[in-house]
Amino acid sequence: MPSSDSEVRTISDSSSGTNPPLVLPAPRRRGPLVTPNRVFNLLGWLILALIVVFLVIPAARHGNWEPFGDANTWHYLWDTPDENGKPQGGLVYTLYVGIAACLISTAVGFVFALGRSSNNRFFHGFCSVYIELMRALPSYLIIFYVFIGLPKFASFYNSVVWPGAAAWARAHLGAGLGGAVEFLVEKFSYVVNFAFQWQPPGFAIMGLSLYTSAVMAEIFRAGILSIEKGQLEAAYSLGLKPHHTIINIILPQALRRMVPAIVSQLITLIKDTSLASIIALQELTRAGKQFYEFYLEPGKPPIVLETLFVVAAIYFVICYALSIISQRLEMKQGR
Amino acid sequence: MLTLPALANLLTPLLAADAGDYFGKSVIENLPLFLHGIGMTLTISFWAALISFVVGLVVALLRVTPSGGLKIVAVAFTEFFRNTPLLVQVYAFYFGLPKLGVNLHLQLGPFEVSDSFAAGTLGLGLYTGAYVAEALRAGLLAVPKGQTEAARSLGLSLLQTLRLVVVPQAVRLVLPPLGNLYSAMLKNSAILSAVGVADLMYQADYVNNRSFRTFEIFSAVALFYLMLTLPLGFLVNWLENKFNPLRARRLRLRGARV
Amino acid sequence: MTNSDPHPPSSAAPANGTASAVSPRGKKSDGRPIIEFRDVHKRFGHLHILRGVEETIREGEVIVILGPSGCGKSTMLRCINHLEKIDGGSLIVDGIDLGDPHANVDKIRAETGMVFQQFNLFPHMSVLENVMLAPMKVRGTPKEEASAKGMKLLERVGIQAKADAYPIQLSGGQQQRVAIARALAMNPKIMLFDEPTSALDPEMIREVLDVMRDLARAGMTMVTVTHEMAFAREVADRVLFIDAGRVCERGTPQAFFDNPQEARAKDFLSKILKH
Ligand SMILES: Nc1ncnc2c1ncn2[C@@H]1O[C@H](COP(=O)(O)OP(=O)(O)OP(=O)(O)O)[C@@H](O)[C@H]1O
Ligand SMILES: [Mg+2]
Repeated sequence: MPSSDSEVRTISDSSSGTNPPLVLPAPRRRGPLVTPNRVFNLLGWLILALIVVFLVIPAARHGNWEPFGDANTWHYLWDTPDENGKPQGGLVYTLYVGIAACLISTAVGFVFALGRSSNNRFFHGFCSVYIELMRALPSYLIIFYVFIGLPKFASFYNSVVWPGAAAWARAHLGAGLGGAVEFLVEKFSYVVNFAFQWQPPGFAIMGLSLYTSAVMAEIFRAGILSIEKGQLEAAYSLGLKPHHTIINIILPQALRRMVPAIVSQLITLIKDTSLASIIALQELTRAGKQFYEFYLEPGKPPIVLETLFVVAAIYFVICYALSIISQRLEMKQGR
Repeated sequence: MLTLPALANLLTPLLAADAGDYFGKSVIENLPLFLHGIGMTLTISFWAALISFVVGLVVALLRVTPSGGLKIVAVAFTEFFRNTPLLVQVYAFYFGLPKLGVNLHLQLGPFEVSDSFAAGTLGLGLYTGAYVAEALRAGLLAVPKGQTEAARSLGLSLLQTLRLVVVPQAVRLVLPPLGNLYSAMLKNSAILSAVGVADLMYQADYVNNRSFRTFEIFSAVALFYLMLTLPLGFLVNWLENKFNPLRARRLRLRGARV
Repeated sequence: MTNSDPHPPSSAAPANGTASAVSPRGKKSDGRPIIEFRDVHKRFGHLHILRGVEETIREGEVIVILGPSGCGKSTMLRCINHLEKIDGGSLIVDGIDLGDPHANVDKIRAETGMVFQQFNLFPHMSVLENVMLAPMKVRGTPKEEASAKGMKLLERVGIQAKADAYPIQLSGGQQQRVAIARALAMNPKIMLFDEPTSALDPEMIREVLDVMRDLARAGMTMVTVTHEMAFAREVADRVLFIDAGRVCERGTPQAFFDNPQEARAKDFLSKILKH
């Protein structure tokens, strides 16, 4: 998980609103940590020049960049169209999976954050276990688990649970209640079969959402907890009702503080979509891999590193743009 | 009524194939493989942690030194490795470096290092190193400038200032994020199975392909990963509380709820 | 305004700022009791902080609470505003018993204004928005009206020029004056001040105390925790000295400062006045 310096903003002592904050926001430091030194500076530029001359330039010169002048290459990486021009993968799938998982996990994460903050023991326990479990497991494993386990579960549900439960309900619960149970069991099959029918991206979206929603839940909770108690007391002492306090005082401040953490999680999510390639989803990474594996031209060197570099550069543009946006937002709110 | 044996009958297709079979059989039978996998996960994490810390420290120092050229190198390194997927990086090391004539299959004295191990350690180490560099830099810069100035005005040398004033304060800021990073690294090591590192994830896939008893295998693997990552999580919590005792008190007082 | 008048709810806070009648001090003891502590207890876990506080505060009175650090002054104020629940006894604020679980807490909070040591302005809202928020959300005051009233209050505390600034752009003294205006915007019957000047530089303390003094002159019921002895002497009607969780000495400022009775009060004063 990315470093959590955004979490340590201002946590004030709860014992009374009159004590100063315990953890002051880290002051933005201007200027270097150590004083400039001209020789050292010169040496630095020299090293940079050496790296450029002996590493970057040869790599650019000796690489086989020819395939990347061809529009078909870019079509392939962009959406891997079939004969009819229908997208079969590529960057489009990466973005599709990333955005869908982002939306789902934001919504689910919010629910789990509320659940974990709830005073109801059952909700609190359930949400805590979900969050801690998902955060402790590799997202690679989760995606794999969904990919392999869900179809099995779906077929098991469709062949055993659904008919079994329906028959049992009809036999033992009478027409009214039995019918209701039958109805519910049938409807739940849609949920179970949803990702199954939605594949190939469905599994990836589901697996990534399981993990990311847990992280989002913790981000939301930390954001809400980071609001100084004095803010709540000021709001209550003015007579604001809890829902006004949440909408007007807590959320606007918490959301701003959460932006860096949320964006860095989105970056992780975009990068993690590459893991879907191991469950045979033809997203950008797999498209790139297939591309260099299929590329064979007599007399030309293979293009493994070149393709991987291009693929990495595409990810880089997306993720770096996200982090720049996040920095802008942070600066804007620095007033 | 739905009796217990009936329920067990219903669940059988999901959990176990025949009579005489039991849930978890394939895990028990292949336990040595799984233990090997855990050993490999820990080994590769150890070496990657070492690489990442050294790389992170060097890059962090380059970033805080006022040398324009070195700073560009350091920034390019961190930003590139943090903003591209680990899987792509590992592919580049594993499939790409041999194409440049680099032999990853090493013989270091009596130790033989396989190419997947070398590529995996390098990839995981550099990827994590970029994050470590950022965490260390944030810690160094979070020490207020007044502290350096006060130390220098007392006549401490630059190195003394760093060693006696800045680093001790930075350490407490940096340890919890570092703990988080290394716990994430342990989880990320699962990705290396994609290039054939025989870690826990790899063994799980291997056993699964032979027995098709997916649920029990991956449930066991999830449990193994929990056993590896949860202690790290507790360590991070403990560190955070140790260095911020008042926060711990606050959480205790409020029962850690909103 | 005379204190024997029964107050219609909204006239309690003189929002126009021109009510300048200084009520003769002797007369204030005739006012209607507005805050009554009866054997109030408060515990934090094993810590027994308030141990049977007995006190009656009357309408229009200006009370200054003194006492050593950690003795429970803040806790006492926060109980009045129901930021802390009392654990025993009864605390009646404007006719509502806060010990009663069904007490209308929102009404009490809307009718008592509180000013904190750390200001607690809402950082994401401009000064004027801070002042307008509660009237609009709690009372449903239309925006124009709230804004006009907010400007009036900002004028009253002397920072109308900063209405569109954000809290972080203001000095501490200015922030605290905004906090006072924000509390006044709800037309409170009672104003609670918890060390309002402790986080301020000396030159800013005065501007805040001036505002508080005007408020006191206008007849507001005020309960203040402060270490500003000169202010206490000049403005307070009565001083309460808290120690070991009880009101251990009470009296006019003159009596308290010049001739304290209790040993603990003498000790406290000798420490404070030396500085
Ligand atoms: N929420 C809480 N949980 C535990 N203890 C608390 C809490 N709030 C206050 N206390 C304790 O209660 C005691 C009284 O606190 P209070 O803030 O009322 O003191 P005070 O008289 O205002 O002191 P000061 O002059 O330092 O502001 C202190 O010892 C404090 O540590
Ligand atoms: Mg206090």
